[in-house]
Amino acid sequence: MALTALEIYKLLPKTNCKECGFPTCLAFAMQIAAGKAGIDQCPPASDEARETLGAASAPPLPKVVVGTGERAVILGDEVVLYRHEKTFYHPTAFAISVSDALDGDAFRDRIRRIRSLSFERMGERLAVDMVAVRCDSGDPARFAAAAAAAKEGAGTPLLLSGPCDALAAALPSLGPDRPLLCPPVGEGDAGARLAAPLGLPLVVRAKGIDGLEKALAAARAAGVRDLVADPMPASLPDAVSLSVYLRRLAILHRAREVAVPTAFDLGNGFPSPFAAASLLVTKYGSLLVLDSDDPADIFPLLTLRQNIFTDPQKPIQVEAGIYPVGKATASSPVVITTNFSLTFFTVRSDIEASRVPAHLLIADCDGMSVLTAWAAGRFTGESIAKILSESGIAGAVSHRTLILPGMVARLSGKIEELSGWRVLVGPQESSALPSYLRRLPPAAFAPADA
Amino acid sequence: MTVANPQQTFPGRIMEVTLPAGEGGRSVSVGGQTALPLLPEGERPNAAAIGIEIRTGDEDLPPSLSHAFGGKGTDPAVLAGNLVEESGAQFLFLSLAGCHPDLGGHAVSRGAGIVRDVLQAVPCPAIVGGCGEEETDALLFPAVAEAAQRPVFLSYADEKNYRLVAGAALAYGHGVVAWSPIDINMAKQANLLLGDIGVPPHRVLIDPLTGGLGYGLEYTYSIVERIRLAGLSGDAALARPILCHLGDSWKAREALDSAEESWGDVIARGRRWEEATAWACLAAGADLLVCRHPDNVRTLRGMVGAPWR
Amino acid sequence: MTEPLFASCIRGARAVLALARDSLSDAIARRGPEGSLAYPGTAYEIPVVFGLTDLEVTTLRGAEPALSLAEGMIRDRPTAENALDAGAATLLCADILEALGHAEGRTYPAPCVGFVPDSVLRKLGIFMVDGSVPGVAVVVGRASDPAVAASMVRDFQEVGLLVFLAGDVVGQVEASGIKMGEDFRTFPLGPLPAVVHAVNFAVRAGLTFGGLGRGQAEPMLSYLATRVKAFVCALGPLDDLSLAIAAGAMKAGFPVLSDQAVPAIPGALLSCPPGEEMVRAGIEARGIKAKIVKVPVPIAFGPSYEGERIRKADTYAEFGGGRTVAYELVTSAPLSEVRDREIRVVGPDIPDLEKGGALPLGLVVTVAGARMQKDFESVLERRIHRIVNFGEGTMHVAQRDTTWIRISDEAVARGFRLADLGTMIHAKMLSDFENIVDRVAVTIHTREEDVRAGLAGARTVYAERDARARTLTDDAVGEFYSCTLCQSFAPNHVCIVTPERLGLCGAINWLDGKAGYEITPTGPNQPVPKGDERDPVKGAWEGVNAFVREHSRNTVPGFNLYSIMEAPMTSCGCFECILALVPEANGFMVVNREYAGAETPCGMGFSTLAGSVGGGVQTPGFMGVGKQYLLSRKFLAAEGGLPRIVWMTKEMKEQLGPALAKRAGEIGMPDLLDKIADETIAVTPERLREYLEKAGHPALSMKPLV
Repeated sequence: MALTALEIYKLLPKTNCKECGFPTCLAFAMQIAAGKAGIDQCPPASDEARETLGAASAPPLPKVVVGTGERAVILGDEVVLYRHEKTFYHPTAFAISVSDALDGDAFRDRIRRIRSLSFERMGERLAVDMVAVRCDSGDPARFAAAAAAAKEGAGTPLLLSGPCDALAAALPSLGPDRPLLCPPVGEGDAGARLAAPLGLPLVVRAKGIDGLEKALAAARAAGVRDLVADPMPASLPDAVSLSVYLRRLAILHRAREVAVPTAFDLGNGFPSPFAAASLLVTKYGSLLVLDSDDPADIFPLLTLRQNIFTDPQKPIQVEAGIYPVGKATASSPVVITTNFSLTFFTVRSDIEASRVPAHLLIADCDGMSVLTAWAAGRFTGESIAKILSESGIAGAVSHRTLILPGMVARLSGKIEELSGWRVLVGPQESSALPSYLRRLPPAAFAPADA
Repeated sequence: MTVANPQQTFPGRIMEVTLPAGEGGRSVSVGGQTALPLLPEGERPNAAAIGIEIRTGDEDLPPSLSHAFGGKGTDPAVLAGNLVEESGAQFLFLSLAGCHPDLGGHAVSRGAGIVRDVLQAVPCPAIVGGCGEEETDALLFPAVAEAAQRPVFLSYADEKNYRLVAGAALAYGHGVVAWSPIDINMAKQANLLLGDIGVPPHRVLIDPLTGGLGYGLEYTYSIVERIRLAGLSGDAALARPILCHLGDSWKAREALDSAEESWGDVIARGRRWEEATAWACLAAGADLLVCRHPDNVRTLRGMVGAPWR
Repeated sequence: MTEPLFASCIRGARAVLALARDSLSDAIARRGPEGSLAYPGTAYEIPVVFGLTDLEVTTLRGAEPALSLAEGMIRDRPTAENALDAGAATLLCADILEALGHAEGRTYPAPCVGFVPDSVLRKLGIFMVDGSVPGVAVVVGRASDPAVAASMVRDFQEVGLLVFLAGDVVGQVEASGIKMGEDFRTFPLGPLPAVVHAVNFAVRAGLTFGGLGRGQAEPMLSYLATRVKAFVCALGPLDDLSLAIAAGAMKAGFPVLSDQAVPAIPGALLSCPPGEEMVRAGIEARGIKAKIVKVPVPIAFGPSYEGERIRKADTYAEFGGGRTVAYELVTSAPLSEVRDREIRVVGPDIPDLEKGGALPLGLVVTVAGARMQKDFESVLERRIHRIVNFGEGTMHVAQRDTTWIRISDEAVARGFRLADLGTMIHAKMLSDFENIVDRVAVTIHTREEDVRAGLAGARTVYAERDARARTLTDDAVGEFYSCTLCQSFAPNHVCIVTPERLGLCGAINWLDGKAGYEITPTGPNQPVPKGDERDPVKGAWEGVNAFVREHSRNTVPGFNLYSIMEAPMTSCGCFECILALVPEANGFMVVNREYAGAETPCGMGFSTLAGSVGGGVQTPGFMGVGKQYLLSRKFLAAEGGLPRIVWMTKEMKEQLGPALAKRAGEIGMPDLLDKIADETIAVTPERLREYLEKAGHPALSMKPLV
């Protein structure tokens, strides 16, 4: 049972020294309780506090960091089985493979294509996280050179996949970058001996949960701390059930023996890699290796990941402001709604569907939907009037007519009173916007009288 | 093995629902399981069923679909026949979008006529969807219920129209798709209300509203998981098969836009957009998926079968 | 005396039986025993036989056992039970008799339709399930005044009832030019015995829509009695035959209204003058509620107009708002005392005014309903505000005796009158409170002396209500109400709303919860029986905990309603304000949603706190609440109540000020409010502590919280 903020507070020095970066010990305690701060941020903490809180805040699924700096990738460190119970913290990482057998231009081209797998959505950059360098050449020197070139070209952390002599050849130059080592099945012990002294993360590959339990124990005995497990599924159903069972063992059964992040190699001829990747994004895969560099494959997968790893209690927000939809002009209608991303995108696509160009005015409502924002007092006559005067919309259109979501029709009078704009009450559901907009008389948006 | 057994058992069982076929077709049963999806545990008498949607009316087809539908006919009965046969869809979802005033404004009688023709042309089980315009649908459902010469499911009954849809279903022996707006309590209430009216539980499917990939899919994902967990835990009113209609995935700009070159080929991308939505719904617990792309029907059917039963 | 009546029913049944026997032997003689016996266009053979017995009748020979069964049901002793059974026997015999005729192609002359086929039943049945056909009126016999019969049928058609006619009344109604047929949901069946087609229609509704099978007599009778909201209007003198049929109707649970002097049998047979009176009596006897599709007022009406303001310059007529004396009141009365749809305007109306004029207003709404409770009056009364604002050109402000209504020039130009105000209230009260309100009458007074007199009475009611609200305590009630509306985003959150602790969103109190449950029994407000008391101070009950466990799907084991430190209630996300522990001050601070600053003595502003407190988890030391809860006697009862509040935003101080001061007075700390700090005094725990010490705040000397 996790400790409450209050229980944590009782263990803290209660001096409000602010060394942790929070204004009070209580505020700090709340952050620890939420898993967003650790006791190590509190220099004056007592040994008792360190011991109790260290254990209590250790996640059931340990965290493994691959790479360094800004682009470091965090695997694992999750606390629930279902996102609605709290949230999933660390998105499934995607690694795209590159073979060291490719010759110069083909290799560079491949890296360039991997690097361009980057997309903007909802104010976030969605990109591939890692490059997986495969040793197909069998030549350690060639592998080391390819890995260095991949690092140089892609700038992401690396997964190094190959026999231990190849890995060893790459490590002198790449070791400080914390690559994830992935030796073949038969070379687990040698891989552990490579990883342990450098403190590098290691993928342990073994068939099934039984196999993993033994292999992980061996790696731990060899001194490897940061472990990732590849259960080597034979098929898609196998991959999903192994992934689910490993996560259940970690979260429900606290089976420390096998509680490590997972990695799945969906390349190298794995059947239906797209389906497997989709299912493993939803069902607990920590790292997925794919061979495809087709944006038509990767963009949907990254979007799915963005969806699943959104905090269910913190909706994604879009930036407040004016969004022209279609070729909006000074006499196009002005439609207002809140900055909850789903609301925004729904309304925008319904305006698009109407083929009537319009200005979509987005109000900052902490990412709440229209009714919630209204109920919370964030979408009110006052706040809307303020947006009308401060957003610059008055300069963008020559009329003074606002279309208000039908759900908050009750605000219309207040808005008219405070802003001087005329309010038309739109439909209650966004889906009715296309027909509503098409039936609006153009006269409604004639220039305002001076 | 020294670690615990990770398999889970649940006290509840999802109601088994059968979508009947016409003469020469194969009926489809879903539900009946005692376990979460995609896992080798519990009982799972039926695999998830994959259907295909045909829409009437004047709508621009997404590039990916217009590519897939090319040369397969425009008449709904012909197109349905071709697509069902080619994709191996287990059921047909016929959306009478054309009756919507903005999408063709077909007369109700024409909508009903299309239902009659399509059901004759295609023997597989069918779900018939309204046009989404409240007043039209109020006329359309009774007409469709009468025109359908064999039992189908009517989609959908919501908080406002459930009495009418239930009445139409009862009058002619059809089933009902009970829709709720991503809300577990409303999903439950819808089932209770339909039960009060007299719709037998084995003729009801839950439609929790399926957001498309990138546009609210995560809400659907979690609500489906919650409905399924509640049903398996013993909440009988939620222990019903769940239908996810993937139509919204085709409204995403990312599935339609051919101008963005860095997004890859729109024909492949559109199809993938729907496919990713489908897998997420399956992983959450959906028992029926309604796709538009025939290749996705084929792919999904090929993979949801035997090993996951 | 009912005995002769029963005897007459039984005689009538014997006569129908004899007639059926004769016709059957006649048919067998002509067509042989294997000759078919069936209605055209039904899957249910002889429907009354199909529905009430397990006999399969498809041939002439097959009808014999059915008639024998009927004979066995006719017993001579004139008791109520025997009369009803004779009635059932009459229906069986009549259905066979009619089927004999139809099987041989004997039909009734136009406009009579005889048997109504399944195809029509299915179509109309949908609307019966839907509620747009809210009931069935069966009119039989012969009206002494044909115009009265015609007007009754017209009234039934207007409400949307399905109408069956049998007997001479068919000709009378036809002659009056009233449209009949499927499109008008009015079926002239034939001569009196053809009335059995109304019964076999109802039986088939049970078979088709009620999921019933052959011979399920008990559930069928119960379906007919409860789901098919039918009643019979018997016009003209009643002979044995009509009484036998009437008894059959009563057996099926259809009340019979006769315009003759018949002995009354409560709920089954009543005497009633024909015409409007009988229409009303029939509709009310079955509790039929017509669906009001469009509110019949000359202005547009709907939620889109809710926010509309009417400026002074655009106002034609005004009521209250300081210019005139005005009040509004909703009261409940027994069903028998309220005439639905009765709207009276007493005094001058809008046309009697010049533009910009004002009138006194006494708006009195009387409601009745089998499930209406006195406690709901205030809930309904608050709804007047929204209802009036729904009109395009009508504006409503405030409530009770401060009410203020404006009617725009445009509305008046379109013909809006005060009666329309009543029509709007009537329609919306019925539809919004469908489950608790059956009848609504509205009286609008505009004469000063009437309004003043009414106001005095209304003020008594307000005072009684307020007194009642004060006696509504957690200890005085047996159950609380839940609200699970927020589970869409806080999956395991359950709000428990008690008389002394309103919902944390501030929008729902115990009465709202109670009314919410009555209005939508499957909705988010459910009764929560308190069950055994476990701790009266902390506010812990077995029943509450069991409910919370179940509805949080076993994630929250239960909570203490009056404690913030130990197993407090969970918070969803809609809370009006957050209570947060300030350990340095041995008390709690309150920050409201509107407070944008991040600086508070606990080191967290509203939004940071909301992120940690919300989502349906228990967070001891922190809790989201409704503002009014601060004024409750049960506020933080476990921790010592209001004196624990050490800091509060200035805005909340201003909002709650007077009420808070009053409450502080009640607990003997009249100057408490001054001792509570705000953001202008302290935003750090150190500074707060200093202030509290200087001010001598009671929290400092209370039991340590941590």
